[in-house]
Amino acid sequence: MIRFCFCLSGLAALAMIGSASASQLRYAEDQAPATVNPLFTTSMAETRVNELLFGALYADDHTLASAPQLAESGELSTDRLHMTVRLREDLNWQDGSPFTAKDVVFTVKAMKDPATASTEAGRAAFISDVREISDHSVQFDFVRPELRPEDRLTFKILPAAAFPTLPVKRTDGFRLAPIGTGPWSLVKFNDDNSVSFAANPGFHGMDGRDDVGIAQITMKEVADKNYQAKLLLYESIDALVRVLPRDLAMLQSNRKVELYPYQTNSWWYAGFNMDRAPFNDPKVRQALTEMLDVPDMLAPIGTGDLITGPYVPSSPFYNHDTKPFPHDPDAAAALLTAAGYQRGADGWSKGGRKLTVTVSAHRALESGQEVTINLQSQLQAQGVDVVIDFLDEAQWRQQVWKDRNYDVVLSQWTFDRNEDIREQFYSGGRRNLTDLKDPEVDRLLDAARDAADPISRKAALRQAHQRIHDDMPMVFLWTLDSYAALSTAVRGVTVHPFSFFAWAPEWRMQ
Amino acid sequence: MIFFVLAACQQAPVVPPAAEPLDVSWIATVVREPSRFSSTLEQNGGRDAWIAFHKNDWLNVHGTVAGSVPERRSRAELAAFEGVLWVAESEALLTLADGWKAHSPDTPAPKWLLASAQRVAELNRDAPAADRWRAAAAAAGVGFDAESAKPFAVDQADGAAADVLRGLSGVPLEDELLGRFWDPTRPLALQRAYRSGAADEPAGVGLPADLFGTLPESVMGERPSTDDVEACRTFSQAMDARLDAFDARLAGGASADGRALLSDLRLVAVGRSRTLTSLALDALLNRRGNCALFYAEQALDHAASREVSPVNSPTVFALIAAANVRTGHVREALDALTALRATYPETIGVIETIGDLAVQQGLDRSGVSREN
Repeated sequence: MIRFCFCLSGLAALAMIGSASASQLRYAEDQAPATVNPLFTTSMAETRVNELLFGALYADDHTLASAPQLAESGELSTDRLHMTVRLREDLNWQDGSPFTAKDVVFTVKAMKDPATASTEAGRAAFISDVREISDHSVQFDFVRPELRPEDRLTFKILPAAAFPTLPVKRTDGFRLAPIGTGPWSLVKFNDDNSVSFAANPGFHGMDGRDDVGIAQITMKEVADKNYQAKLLLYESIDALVRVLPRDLAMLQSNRKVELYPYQTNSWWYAGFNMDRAPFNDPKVRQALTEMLDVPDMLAPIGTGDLITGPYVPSSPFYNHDTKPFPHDPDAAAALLTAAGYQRGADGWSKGGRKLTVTVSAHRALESGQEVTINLQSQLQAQGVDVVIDFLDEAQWRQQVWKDRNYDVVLSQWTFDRNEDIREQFYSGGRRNLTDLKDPEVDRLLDAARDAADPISRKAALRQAHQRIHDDMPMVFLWTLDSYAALSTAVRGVTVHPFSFFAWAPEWRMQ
Repeated sequence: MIFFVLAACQQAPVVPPAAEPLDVSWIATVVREPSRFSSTLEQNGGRDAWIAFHKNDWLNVHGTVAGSVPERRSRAELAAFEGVLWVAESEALLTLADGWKAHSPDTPAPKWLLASAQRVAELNRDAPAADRWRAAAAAAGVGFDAESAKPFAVDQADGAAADVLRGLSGVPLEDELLGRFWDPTRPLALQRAYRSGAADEPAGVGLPADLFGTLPESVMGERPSTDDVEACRTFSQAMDARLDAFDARLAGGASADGRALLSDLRLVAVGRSRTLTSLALDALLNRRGNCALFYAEQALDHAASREVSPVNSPTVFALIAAANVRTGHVREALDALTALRATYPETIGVIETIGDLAVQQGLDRSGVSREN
């Protein structure tokens, strides 16, 4: 009966999604972007939409070297503290107004304005000032000498005229009617949570590539990750940005689908709120860590590599000498005893209060429910009371990002190829959800940031890996195989390892 | 798996008329003549060696009957594998050395890097960065005399067995002048060791020579000669269509034993992967890095992309790494090599070099992170 109902609902869903036009690409996301404004990007889904709509002064070419996109050229001063960037004069915003230096200056000032509270502020921290030299020329001043500032001038540029004044607010109307210089423009937020995009006829790409091969793109929200692969097989969507590991074999064997490796610098964690008792006690953190059988948690959700710190094992910064904490319930019990807890008939308690852990997870985290329930089961079997709190997007932003109101968060971080963990682990970092404050970690991250050569940076960050592991701000879990899948009807596909749609203007529908 | 399947291979052969090259391929022979397959294994090195060869576990084949067909074929595979690692290593190291001044103008390059780059540039004159490095080094007066070349494995490998070289590969080189570093010439030294031990004549003829190998050249048709990924994709899709039809045709006409071999040993997937690997190697060696990457990624069994298996040979992983280095996707090259780290210690040095290059290329960048 259950299966019958599922089939009916599946067919209904297929009918609702409908058929595609010849030059339409339909891709699935677990959740529609909460915000279409690059200043407030936190998720990969938002990053992908940003790539469709917006441009940057510089962007990756196909060899992943920085090449001018909205910039025409740049000139660095001999002391490397200033750079004059000449902007392209042939560019317009999608509303027809010209792209000028005012837009660049506005964007940088918005990013740096503390009242904006941009999640991207860290990307502009190297800029001390920016000013308009002419309509199509800006000058940047840098905090310290920069060798290749074009490698950092890769954040998305916003239209100054679309905002009344600084600071920019997350709730500004721009998020519903964004205007960019990118290859597609946003047409409509649809009632079914899908978003429609149309090719920007005024688009000017890098290297004189001005045409956009796909006329329409539709982002479909398909919350049930298990269903996304089926939609691709039924040709109801054309692209899956992240394939569940367990679906890889099925998709690989289908000749109408092609798999593409897509950013693998993602790892899962269960992070402690170290600003809150009892998680400020390292004995408690280590006890909870050693209670967990991490391979057993990973097994149901797919193949992956276990990790011991804040990098994936293929990272140059991964410290292969760091040993994982063992799964050792006896040692965990001893640690809790040493922390003042007693094991009674109804579990561990201290001063008459039960040891209770609330685990918060985003409702849209793929496989998050399986992992969280497994984690709950394991800890409860060892006398720790666990409450699960699945949060929707608004709750997640408020409770986790703004109020920092949680015991343990289960989540996943994804990094570009630079694997910069500073925001996550530096004291006061905007993404430091565990509130780790370790001067030695700060020193190592500073040393890595300031390193003038690759050998020194690698050494500093391998030490940071070990130190962060020892601090136990989180239980480092695993990295999963990460693939995108596209219909073979989409031709000319090359997928940027992080931004996915960066080279999509060259894609074509067969 | 192969052991259990072979135990059932006693029925008389079924021989339908050959229609096209695939129908006279090693796959067709195995499926239609299971008993011939079984006797071939017994008479050419034994089952254990072939079981390991089928799994691409070449190091264990290498330890079986010396001079047998699977042992010689494994040596050839290992030599090719080391050759691809050498391409990745040499190109990454020369790019690292070549880019040092641009990325780190205030920090002198380490002596080991200068010496390594000089020696590697001499050994791999075809590397894209070799000429640049030689010119820059000459202009800057950077160079080391012949004495400094002595520590490199490739210069000391005369007569050294591959096993001995491999045993030394998991630790950095210590040199009085150059310091502690990973010797970049180890893959080349290993390649030479495997080649020097191979017999001059081909490793067998007929089924033993072809078994678990590539598909007949004539199956593939005319391959693209440019580095156009779309052309390579079209070519690969046409090949897959023929293979799918062949697979169905073969299964339909096979005995129960033949069908069991076809499915349990994943014969078509193995032949497909070997063929795509060969195409990737050819593309890599002919400066078609984009197609090399495409073919190699097509060859990989993505559902088990972290392990060597009958479909995923070590060479596939090495090719993905080398092609990524060639096309500028340096960080992505490291993902492929992770699967080899434990079994092939010589990859650790390659990983370190490519890692240094990846870090160098990101020295001036701001990182980006996102949730989920």
